[in-house]
This record gives sequence, structure tokens and C-alpha cells, in this order.
Amino acid sequence: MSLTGLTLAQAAAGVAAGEFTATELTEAALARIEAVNPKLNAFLRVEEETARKGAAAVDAKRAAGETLGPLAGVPLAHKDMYYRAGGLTTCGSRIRREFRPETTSTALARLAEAGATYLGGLNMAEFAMGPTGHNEHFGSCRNPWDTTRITGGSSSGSGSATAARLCYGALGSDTGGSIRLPAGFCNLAGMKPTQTRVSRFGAMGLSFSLDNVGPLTRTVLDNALMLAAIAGRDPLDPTSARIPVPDYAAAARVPGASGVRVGVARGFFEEDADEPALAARDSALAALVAAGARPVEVDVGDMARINALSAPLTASEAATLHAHWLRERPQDYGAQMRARCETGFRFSAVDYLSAQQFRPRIVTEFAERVFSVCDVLLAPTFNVATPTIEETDVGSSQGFEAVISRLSRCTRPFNYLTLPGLALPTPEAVLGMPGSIQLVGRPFGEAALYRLGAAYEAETGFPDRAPDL
Amino acid sequence: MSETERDEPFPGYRYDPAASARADRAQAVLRSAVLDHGDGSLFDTEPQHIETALARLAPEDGV
Repeated sequence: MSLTGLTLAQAAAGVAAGEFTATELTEAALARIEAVNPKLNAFLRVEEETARKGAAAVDAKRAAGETLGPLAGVPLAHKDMYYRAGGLTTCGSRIRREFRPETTSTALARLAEAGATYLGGLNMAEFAMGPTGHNEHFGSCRNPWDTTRITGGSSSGSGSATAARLCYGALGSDTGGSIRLPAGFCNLAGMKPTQTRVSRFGAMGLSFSLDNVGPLTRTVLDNALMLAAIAGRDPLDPTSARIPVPDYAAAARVPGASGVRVGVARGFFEEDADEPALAARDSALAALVAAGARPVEVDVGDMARINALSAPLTASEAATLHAHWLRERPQDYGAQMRARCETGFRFSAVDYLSAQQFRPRIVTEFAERVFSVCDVLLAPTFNVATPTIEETDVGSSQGFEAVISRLSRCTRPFNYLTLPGLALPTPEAVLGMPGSIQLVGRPFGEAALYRLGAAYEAETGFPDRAPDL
Repeated sequence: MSETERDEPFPGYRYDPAASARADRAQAVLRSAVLDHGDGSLFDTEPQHIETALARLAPEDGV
């Protein structure tokens, strides 16, 4: 197998064992990026020098007999919204095309501490607002499984680059589905952790209440390794949780589905669905059952109400963050971004605070009702066939609201509900493209998702599928 | 002043009429959800109670 075909865990183990060097891994990734990225537009910027320097430092450390971190020498790349002091961070925007922050995000600092190297910034929707992967300023990102189709967004480059073996994993961010959707459309594992599980310090904000930092990877264990590196309390983000972080990698290394009650989310999640997407969901349920899980029916309640309540949070908070630039340079925004911020200005303070006030009660009621019946909830990540880039290139026209609403219908509720969601590929494709389910757990229940996800992976073998590029 | 001439939120800024219509719809749906599901028991709830709720719902063994 080529070096780029290894999983993140295999790459880290190989460097640690001296089977190959970090420099060899990095050179292999850079060569593949050069060959494949022009077809995908996944990288906005490749930072060869930074990558080579990082790899050389890991190799020197190993040669000196020093202890290596769990991700030592593994080349990663990230959605271009994670600040690195002195480095470019465009946020996928014209406004920040030349932005060089003075601080480094906690997530990147922790990945560097774990030994990972940095390949560059990945494509994304402008300021992380948009579920398709379109970007008016840098060009749309393409899906490696079919380059005429969307990657999903807003972490479009994270999905495309990881699936195409340009890097071993990538950070995305998820405010309404932006990790889970590109993971789903690109045949990857994508974790939206519990709200407050990962520090948001130095991660470009879109919505204070709904933003989450998390990884997209090819396997469940890879995902657990990345989340383990970044999760946990951070004094620089006072909203980050103090709850201890369990050993996610240990959970993923001991797959377990036997007797796990999997609640099947129906109703809202099946409405307005494309039949092949539901068939793919059913194939995933069958795989979980084959692995030993026990399916149960569960009443998820009124999810449309939850989406209605989350709307003022995203829109008002984004409008607040962008008010200055919207006033000073509205022409520098893409049509969708501008239109969605405008919606935020129209909600009243009482609208916004009502949605916030409802949240503790709704989260509690949902968790108590659902997780008294099941251990993990199963829902489709999306219930539509993957659209083409062309048919979703709708700017701010009347069609765009429907596109956004339909694509992120199944993911948005879990941001308002704060719950962790692990997107995983389905055994059955959706009209020739990857399908996806999300396993949703109770707050801070990521380890249980990894354990079940690893059993599902062993049953389905989804990481063995690779796009032909 | 008509919707298309509205110069909020900043003087001289023109709302996209389509965005205004979308905002009206989103606001109506939200207010209906609040009307249907809100009651006096929320009187003592502050938004930051979400932190307490999450801590209480977390699994005790972390798994």
C-alpha cells in the first residue's frame, strides 16, 4: 500500500516504529496534493515549507530518542479558519484573504503538541456559512467520488482532501451540519462533539451558541485519535466544559455493539426524503444489527420546532459578528452569506432570547425521553441524493433557502440539542454516491459513539472504499 | 417606506427583498413555536442553565 493509502493510525504507528519517516509521509502527501488537488480545489493554500519543517522536527526527535506524541509525523490539513499566529487564515472569504492572526487556535496548538504536521488551509464556504461547498471567492470544492457533485459544506475541503488521500485527517467546524455533511457526502467519519467539548479559542466564529470544532477522518479510530488530542477544558475558552475527557482511542479500539439499543429516528427524518437515501439508512441499521445492536423505535418529538428555534441563534449571532464589515464593505460578501446575515438583523432580542431560554428545557426533555429508550439514536445525515454543483449554485435566489434547508434538515436539530453526532458511511450507496448515517449520543457520550462506530466499521468495511482519481 | 426601500440595519444599506421575505417567514415560524410551547414554567429559566443541564445529562463513567 502507498503511504498516502494508510490510515492516520497506521501512519502514526509507522513513524513511531521507524518503518518510515515523517519526512517520507509528508513528501508523499505533497506529491499527491500536486497531482490531485487541481481536480478538486480542496486546498486553498499548500504550505510546503511549514510541512517539511514540522516533519524534520519529528524525525529529529525520534532520532534523539525523545518521546513522540500520539500523532507524531502525521500530515494534517484544516478548514482555513483555524488561526495560526503569523500564518494566513482566509476563512474562505475575500474580506480575510490576507488575514494573519496574532494567536494560534487551541485546536491547532493541541494537534501540534501531539506531533501532527500542517500541510495547509482547506477550502470552505465563505465564513463557514453554507452546506454545499460553493465558494464565490476561491471556486467551489469538488467531490472526489464525482467531481461534478457537491462535497457538502461548510467544511468542503476537509471532506474532499481527506477522502482523496491528500491528508490523513482534517478539522472542520459544525454549526448546523458542516462536519457531518461533508463527511457524509465524501464517505468519511465526521464527529460533531458535544457543545463545549472542544475549545473554540482561535477558531473563526459563526455562531457562539452552535459552533463546534471536530475531525473528519477515514476511520473511526483515526477520528477518536484526533478528538482525543483536541478535547478538554481550555482556560482560553471559558465556555469549554470542565467534564473529564475519557479515552476515546481506547473506546474505538474495543468495538462493541452487542446489546446496544439503537433508536431509529423516523418521522421528521423520513419526510421529504429521497427513497435511496432511506434505503441506505436501512442498510446501515442492518449492519448494526448484524454487529449485535438491538433496534428500537423511538419518538424524537417535534424536530421542526427545534429547527425553528435554532434559526435566530445562527442568524442573529452571525449578523452580530459580521455587522461591521456588512456596513463597511457589503460588496465583498458573497450573495448567500450576505442574505443569511440580513435575516439575522430582523429577529428581535426577544426572539433570540426566547430561543436561548427554551434550550435547557428542550435539551433535557429530549435527552431524557430518547435516551431512556435507547443508548444511541440513528438518523440519516442527509436524506437526499447528492446534488450536482451546478444544480445547487443558486446564489441568493429564491431556490437557495430550499437547498440549504433540505441539505441540512437532519443535522441542524442536533446543534441546538448540543448532542454529539458521529457521521458514518452507509454500506449501500445513494445513486452511486456515498450515503451516511449519524449516530447521536447523550451529552459527552462521544466514547460510546466511537465504540459502536468501530463495531459498525468492522461490519461494513467502509474505509476500504476509495475514490478513483 | 416599503420593504424594498428599507435602509436598516445601517443608514444607506439596502436589504435584499428576498432576504426580508425569508426573515419574515423564519420569524413567523419561530414565534409560532414559542407560542405553542412556551409556558410560565420557563419564567425562572436563564439561557446559561444549559451548562447545568449538560453536566447533569453526561454519563457518569464518561462512556
